[in-house]
This record gives sequence, C-alpha cells and structure tokens, in this order.
Amino acid sequence: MDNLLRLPSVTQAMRARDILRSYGINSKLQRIPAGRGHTSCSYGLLINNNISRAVEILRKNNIKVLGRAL
Amino acid sequence: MIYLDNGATTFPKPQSVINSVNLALRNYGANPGRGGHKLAIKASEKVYETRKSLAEFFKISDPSNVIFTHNCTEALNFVIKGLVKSGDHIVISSLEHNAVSRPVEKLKSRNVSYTVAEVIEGDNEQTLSNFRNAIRENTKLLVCTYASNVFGIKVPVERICAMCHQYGILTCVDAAQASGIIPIDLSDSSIDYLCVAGHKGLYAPMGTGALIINCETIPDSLVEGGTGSNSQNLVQPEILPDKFESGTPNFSGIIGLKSGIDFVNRRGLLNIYHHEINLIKHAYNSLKSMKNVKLYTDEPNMNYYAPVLSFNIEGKDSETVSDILSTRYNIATRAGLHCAPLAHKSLGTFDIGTVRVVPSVFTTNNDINSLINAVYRINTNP
Repeated sequence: MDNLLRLPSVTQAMRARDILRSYGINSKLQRIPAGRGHTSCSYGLLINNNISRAVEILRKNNIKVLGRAL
Repeated sequence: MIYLDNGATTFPKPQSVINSVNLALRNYGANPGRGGHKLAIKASEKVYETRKSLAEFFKISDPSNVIFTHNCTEALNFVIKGLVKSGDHIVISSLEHNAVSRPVEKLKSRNVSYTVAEVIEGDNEQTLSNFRNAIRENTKLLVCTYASNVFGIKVPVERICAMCHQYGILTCVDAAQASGIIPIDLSDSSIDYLCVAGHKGLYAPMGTGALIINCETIPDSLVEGGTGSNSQNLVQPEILPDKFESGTPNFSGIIGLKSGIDFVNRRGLLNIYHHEINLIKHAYNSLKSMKNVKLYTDEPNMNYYAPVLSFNIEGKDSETVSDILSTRYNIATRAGLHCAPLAHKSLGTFDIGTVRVVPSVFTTNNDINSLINAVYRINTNP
C-alpha cells in the first residue's frame, strides 16, 4: 500500500487528484483504513505509478502530503 | 404573486436548482467528507464540484479557500470575530446591514472599537476620503458592503480595500446583494475576505452562503467539532476548508448552489445585471413622475448601483404601503428598515423605513408595470 498517499482532508485529496490529473497522473480517491501507520479518518489517493513524481508535483502545488499509508 | 422581494431571497428558484436538490436527496444524500463508502464519496465529489464552481465564479485558484456557510451573515461573523482581538479597531461603512453592525457592536464589550465611514452617493472621492479619515493606528479590519441592500448604492470597495492595504489593514466585503449580479474578480483584487449569500443572486436554496478567503491570514475558528478529518486530534484542524466547516453541511443546499451558479453562468452575469437595472430604472422613472412618491437616490445605473430601489409615499408609512401592495395587488415588497438601520439613518429614513423593490432574472417589464400602476392607485386613492 505504499502507493497510497495520505492527505489532510477529502477536499485536499480531491484537489490533489485534479492537479495530478492535469499532469497526466491518474489516481483514485479512497478512505485510508486505520492501522496503516496512523489512526482513522483520513483520505488518500491511490496511485499506480509515478508516485515519487506525484509527491513532487503536489509539493510544488502547496498540497500537504501527510505520508504514505503503510 | 408578483415577487419583488428578491433582496431577501430570490424566488422562484430555477427549475434546474429544484431538480438538482431533488436528485441529491433521492440519489446520493449521504454525509459528505465522512465515510468511505461509495455514496459518501459521491456526495463528497458533489460538494467539491460546488466548491470548484464558486472558486471559478469568483476567480480564485484554490477551491480549498471556499468555505461553505449557512448564509452571508455567518461568513461575516467568521471573519469579524475570528480576526479582531482586544484593543483592535474596525472600520465599517454607513450602509452596513446588521450582519456587520451587530457583530462589531457586540465586540465593543471585548474592548474592540469601530468607526462608521460615511458613503457619499455619487462622490467616490469623498467616500474614499471618509474611509481614510476613519482609519486609526490600531485599525485591524475594514468591513464594507459591496452595495446597499436598501438603496442599491455601490460602494467603491476595490479602491477602499486597496487603500486599506497601504495601511496594512485586512479587508472584508459583504457581497450579499452583489454576488450573482455584479461581476467580482478576486484574482486582481484587494478584497481579502468575500462573504457571499447563496440564496439571493446565485439562486440557491436558503441556508447557503460562503466565505471566500483571498489572503494568507486565516481567522480563528468560531465553531469547533467534527470535520471528518484528523479525528484522533482534539485540536480543530487548521487546514481549509475543514477549519470552518464543523458538523454536517447543508448538502442539498450546496448541490443547489452549484446549479444556481451554472444557471447564472448560462444566463450571463452582465445580462442579468443589465436586465435588472433596466427594470429598476423603469420603476424609478415612473415613480419619480408621481406626486407624493419619494425616491432617495439618483437614477440608478450600472456604474453606481445594484438593482435595488427604495421609495415611500408621503403620508403613508412603508409597512402600510407594502401591506396594501401585498393584500390588494398581490405584489411582494419589503418594508421597514431591512435590517440596515445605519443605511436608513444615513439617508434620513430611519424613522419611517422604505418600501424596497428588488427584481430577479425572472421579473418582467409587466411585473414592474403592475407595481407602478398599484403605487399610482395607492397614491391617488387613499
């Protein structure tokens, strides 16, 4: 599951998804299960490839990535 | 009924708004931003679509800076009470609604002071000078209406806000009567906080509004609670929009707001403004020719006025005239002080109030002709 990026809120996750899409990176919004390195109540983006590039793009666009769900 | 009380809320709502609310309640009425099931995600997507629509409508780049509120008043309270501290000073205009004047009055008990700057109709230079003279060393915030909800007078908010920035003062604009009628572009603006009503010019259901943050200074939250995010932490999240959106949102209203914005975009903002100001001009010029009918502004035009008209019939109080218009002529207007005592004091109508006429995109020339005929009859047949 290290291709699941944790984001601070559902709004931030959707914004991140839209930004990645504009760079040609597809992702899927989903709730992150508890116990994967954090407690519950967060949303993430499942990204199949280019995850490092995705993180870099989000950082450049001032989207806070909380980490990867492990 | 001929409905000319659109300053309070627009009615009727577009069929597309009604349809979307209906669809939302029937098909995807789950709680957005909470669960992870398909319906919750779908609801979250819909809310985000509205957020993006509002961001695009007012031309800000980050939809996260669009905060849904229950009305414009709540948005104004978030800004005013979330920013100022003991010892701070606020400048407001002489045309403010109680949505602004009551919060700032309340803050006097917390050692916050405020000054009312007089708006001079038709003299933007003098108005600007009055605002400049109202600024003090400890002025933290300017709060100003975009246009009077009673007299339609537009305040030169961009110039005032730009001037305030020169003094390091944050700026907040009440766009309750302007949004959806007058173009507002925050991409090139000195407005830091724009407070919007959803249920007026944006044709959404009542219970919708927004605070749009266009600067880096984020007010403190006034309401804390569940946001669906970072739940393990007892401290309210700082991230936007969650910081200001505790508790279950008005989901169906927000869905209706998206449809309302789409409706306004389809019709064209300037087309709507042009249509409504022409109706107001027509009413103004006809009423002006009637003996005993008192008007309070110059002839409205798009440069200086929002489509709002106030009048009185000499010898009759505004409530009586509005009541006769309703009961005898089936015309809905709004009488009294319109929750804006400062504006009425400013134009000398505090003791009598006015009858207010506000059209919508659905108002026709025939509707205004009916109003004119009714006022003529009330005036000539006591």
